[in-house]
Amino acid sequence: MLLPLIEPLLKIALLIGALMTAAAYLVLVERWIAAWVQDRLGPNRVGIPLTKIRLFGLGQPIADGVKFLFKAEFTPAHVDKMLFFVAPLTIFIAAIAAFAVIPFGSVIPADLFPASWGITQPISLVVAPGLDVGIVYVFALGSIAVYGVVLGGWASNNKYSFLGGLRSSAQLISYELPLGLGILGVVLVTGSLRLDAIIQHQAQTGLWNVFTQPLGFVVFCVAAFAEAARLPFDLPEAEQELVGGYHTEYSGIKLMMYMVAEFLHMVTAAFLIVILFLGGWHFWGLSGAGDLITWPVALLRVVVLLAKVMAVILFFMLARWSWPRFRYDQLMGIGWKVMIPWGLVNFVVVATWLEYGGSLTGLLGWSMESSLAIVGVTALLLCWLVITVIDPTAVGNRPRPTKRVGK
Amino acid sequence: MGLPTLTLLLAAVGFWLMLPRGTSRGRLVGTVLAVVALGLGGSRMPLLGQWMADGMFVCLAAITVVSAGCAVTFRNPVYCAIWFGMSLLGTAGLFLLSGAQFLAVATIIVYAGAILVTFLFVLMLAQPEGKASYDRVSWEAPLAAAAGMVMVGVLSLAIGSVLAPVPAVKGDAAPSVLAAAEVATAIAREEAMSRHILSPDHVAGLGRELFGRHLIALEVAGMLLFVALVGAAVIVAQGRGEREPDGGER
Amino acid sequence: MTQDKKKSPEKNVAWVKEPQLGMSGKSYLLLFLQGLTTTLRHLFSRKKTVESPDQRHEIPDSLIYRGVHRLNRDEQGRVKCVACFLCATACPAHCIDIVAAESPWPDREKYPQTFTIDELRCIFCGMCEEACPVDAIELTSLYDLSGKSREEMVFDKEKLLSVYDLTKDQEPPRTKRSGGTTSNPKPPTK
Repeated sequence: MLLPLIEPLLKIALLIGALMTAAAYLVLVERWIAAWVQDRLGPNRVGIPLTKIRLFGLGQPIADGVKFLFKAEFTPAHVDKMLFFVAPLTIFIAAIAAFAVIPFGSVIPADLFPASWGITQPISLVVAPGLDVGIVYVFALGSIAVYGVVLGGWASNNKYSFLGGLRSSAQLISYELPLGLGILGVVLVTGSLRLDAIIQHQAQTGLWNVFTQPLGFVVFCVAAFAEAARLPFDLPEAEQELVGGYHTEYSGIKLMMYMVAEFLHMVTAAFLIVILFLGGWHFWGLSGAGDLITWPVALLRVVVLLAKVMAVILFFMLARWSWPRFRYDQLMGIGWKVMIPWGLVNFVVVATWLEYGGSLTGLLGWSMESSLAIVGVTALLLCWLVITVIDPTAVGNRPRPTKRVGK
Repeated sequence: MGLPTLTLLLAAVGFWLMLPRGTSRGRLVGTVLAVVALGLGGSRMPLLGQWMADGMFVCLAAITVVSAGCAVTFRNPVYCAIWFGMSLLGTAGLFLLSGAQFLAVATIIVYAGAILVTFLFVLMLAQPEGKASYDRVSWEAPLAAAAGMVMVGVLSLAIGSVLAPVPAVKGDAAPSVLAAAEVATAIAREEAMSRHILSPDHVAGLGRELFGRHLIALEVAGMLLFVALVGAAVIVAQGRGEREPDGGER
Repeated sequence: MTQDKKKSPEKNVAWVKEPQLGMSGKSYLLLFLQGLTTTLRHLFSRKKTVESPDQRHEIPDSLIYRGVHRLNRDEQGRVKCVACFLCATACPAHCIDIVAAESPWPDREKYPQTFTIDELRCIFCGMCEEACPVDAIELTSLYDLSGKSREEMVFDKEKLLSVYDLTKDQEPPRTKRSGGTTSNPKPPTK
């Protein structure tokens, strides 16, 4: 009788525990990757406390967490105390709450449990399985996260923090548009906003959305990088060039909230990329497509999904060391002059194909999906060519000789 | 009619006293009056009978109303904006509670995510201290309080008349056939509506509705916004054009 | 532009044109792949870190490293220094303090009664080594210099001589002249 209450609570507890652990260990992975790319070894000494056992440095996240907790938490005298406290909390809660609609696998089949538990329906691996708005909910929480940035910058009452807050919120708001445009095509093809439905659709057709809508994939990926404030779009922080950004004045546990939220944004972005474009838990010949599955397949789906997510996260981390940071005007130029038009083109292409594609494919004898894939790849190449020729982000920002002198 | 009118009056006077222009003692009195009015109003709220749904509804409603009150009475404009955002979140929660998922999420994205952030930008850039004198001189306070009172009164009257028939029939010993039929159709209509809203693909239904019956209105609204955008771009471009000829230097 | 060049007061200023990106550069694709391959190559390359407390960092040639000082001894085990103050004079950090006394030995006039180097003030520039006429003071390749107090880091004569005893086998004195005055040119050992 209490089951409908216990199930979501259990899921929430598991999710938050898993997320916090994942964030801590992803910091370790990030540091490893950073070190390896720079020909260093990275953290490898902290193992089990009070022993000499090192375990490749797997104790490092615990040490980091303890350090953050016990570090002096300094609140400057001039800050707005209330908002200074609320801002990191906002971004942290928003980052966690976004996972409510993200599926971590497909379902757990009901026959896995003893019959006395009275579970008849397969348990879906989403915290809020009934939410029909799915992906839009993630967007809503993304727009809440902007508050953490703006308020943190303002409440610090420090010019650097304030400018950092403006800088980052302008970036976040600008890239919300291409982010939305990137998924429009996916939603159109699927006919639903629910993430599990989107995976289901890809599993049934067998062609992931990255093949059918490569343009949307590029737009979404770039926007996701910018939203997660990862290099090459990490202008909010830009640790080598600028003062710390909106969290200049933060320390201790509040700084940790910002850091963890940043990492969770990256994890959310990776999950969304995998679910929307890389087929979610689907893999050819491994996972099947239907909802009625045995438990090995259910487990396999979770593994496939998490493996894909991890691969995308590793790409995020490698990208950090592969390409130089964009300048701020280039960042804005890419957002407004490249990504938004591309997103619109993708949207129009998909909508047109949905309307007239059926008759066309009937004429040529292809399947619907493969014809969309061909159209999509063509659109991507054409768009990329056009942008390369026009080069709208090129701005002559070098000092020019003053023409007045000659007159 | 006595209690609702008293509630409204109390609320109006309380808010008038609470507005940022007043003295601290006046604001305290106003706060007490407004809280009393809130309690009186809340006591007349019809309950559903399920403790969880009722509890959540009361919490969300209280959050919404109290933060809306704070949004107009706080001195620091940045705080006002934050309270407004809080009130929007409460509203979104109420929408979610009644099954209108898309509306809830759209409220957050459009109002909290876009409009309010723009407000915050302007507020922060304009006056980081938040203590400008012209913010405190709100001479139209009594007018605003009165207008708010009328607004809330008319709305509750309208909503009350919609909800009224059901308890009236229950209380009546001998309901007329006509009234019973009316009630039956009203209940049927409401059930049909809730079925429509709570159906698993209500977003698709909303989309059909928006782009079917209300297509013209939607397109007109979109066109209006687009024209406004172009206008803003034109204004900005003109301002820049004057400075452009000599390479941005003056 | 040509007009500008004649009349411009900035005659010595050359305006360099921004290098134009080619098509491959503008399309980002080639550069994108280049960046990724570089990163991947380094990801799997051999790491250069020395895990310090467990492994010692090997200094390939002690002659090119300037670490802790030592005071050399001559063949009879006496301190080589003749207390001429050249090192203290040369020292830019003023970290060498010598008290000279009359030498008990017949082959020199003075010897250092005390010889202290404040290792915390020292900037390890090696000027003392350059200045010394008798090659009595040298910088070894010991780099892990640490102590628990400031006093501990002020090295006196005994300690500097003990550094010599510690390091003389690995790093023989780079002596060009043995003893105080006799000349015995010998190339550096390494």
